[in-house]
Amino acid sequence: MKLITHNILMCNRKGCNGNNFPLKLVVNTWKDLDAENAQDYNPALIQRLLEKIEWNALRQTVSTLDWGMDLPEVLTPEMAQDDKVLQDLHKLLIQRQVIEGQMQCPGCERVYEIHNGIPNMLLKEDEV
Amino acid sequence: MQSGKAFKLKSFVSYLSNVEEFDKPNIQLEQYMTPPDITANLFQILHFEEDALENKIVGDFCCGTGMYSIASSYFNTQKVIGFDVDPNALAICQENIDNAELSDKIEILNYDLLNIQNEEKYKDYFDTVVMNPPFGTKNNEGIDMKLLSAAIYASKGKVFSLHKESTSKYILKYVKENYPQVEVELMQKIAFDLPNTYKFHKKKNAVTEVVLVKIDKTKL
Repeated sequence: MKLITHNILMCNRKGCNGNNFPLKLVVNTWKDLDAENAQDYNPALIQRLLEKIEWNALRQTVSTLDWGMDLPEVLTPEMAQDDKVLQDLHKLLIQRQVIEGQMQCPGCERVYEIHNGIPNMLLKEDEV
Repeated sequence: MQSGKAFKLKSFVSYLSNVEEFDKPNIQLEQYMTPPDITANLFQILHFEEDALENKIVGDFCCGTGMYSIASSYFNTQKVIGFDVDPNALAICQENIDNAELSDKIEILNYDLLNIQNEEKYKDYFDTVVMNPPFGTKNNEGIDMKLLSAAIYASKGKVFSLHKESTSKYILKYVKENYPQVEVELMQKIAFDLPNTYKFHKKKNAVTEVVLVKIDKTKL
């Protein structure tokens, strides 16, 4: 799972519909795709993906991870043109993959597991 | 597709022939993989005639072992997210993605698409949704229509979905009644050589007529 996908995941358990996004991410293992396996840095692609991103949720999530990355409070239009910012985002959104971890709903505390890079978002029968 | 090179259908089919099948198809989920040659034919249309893949964010609904995700990525998609309820299929799917060296472009989620319309983040999220849903036979009646609704919800552009030919009239009616503003069209009709995966298929290789349904929300 990459952070761009984490950015759309919310808790969908029955009865939980208030404070259910973003899911609190705990990362046990992660890896970066090396340059050979990842598509080349492409500023237009990152800008396109940024249109899909809820910046606050991404920033908040990154600030809780020990990845040594700090995103600015607000992404200004100037920053979205800045090569340095876009390269950092390329690394964060395209290259970095969460392999093992958990995501917890901030409201109801339901935990969703990430195993082998695949988030398990399935609900149990009594949760639907 | 490597940029600068001419598209060759044969190379595309051979590329897709590396995608591994379900090892133990789940009868409840009516799992079967669209064969490489049929997939290649459909996806070249999606690319060359529909412009539905290149630079697009694509959802692969009921992705199974990843055939449509991998076929989409061949045409320089920006990103593909595959969804399936079956963790066993997804484990094979992840291997297929890794083998095709596409983990930078394709991500997969273990997810029940029947719940997607409760989640506003997915509304109009994808440029294109491609889908090979269960045909809704056996104990699954109506699931194909529910999944089609899920796809229409999550796409802001086009939806391409494979259905049984015998249900095509019903699909047209269903879409026109429930989504009067979208365009719906039956595209390709295909004779599908369903392998004898399940015991209830009495004939050795039952041929099923399927049809590619296209829904277009871009003219809303």
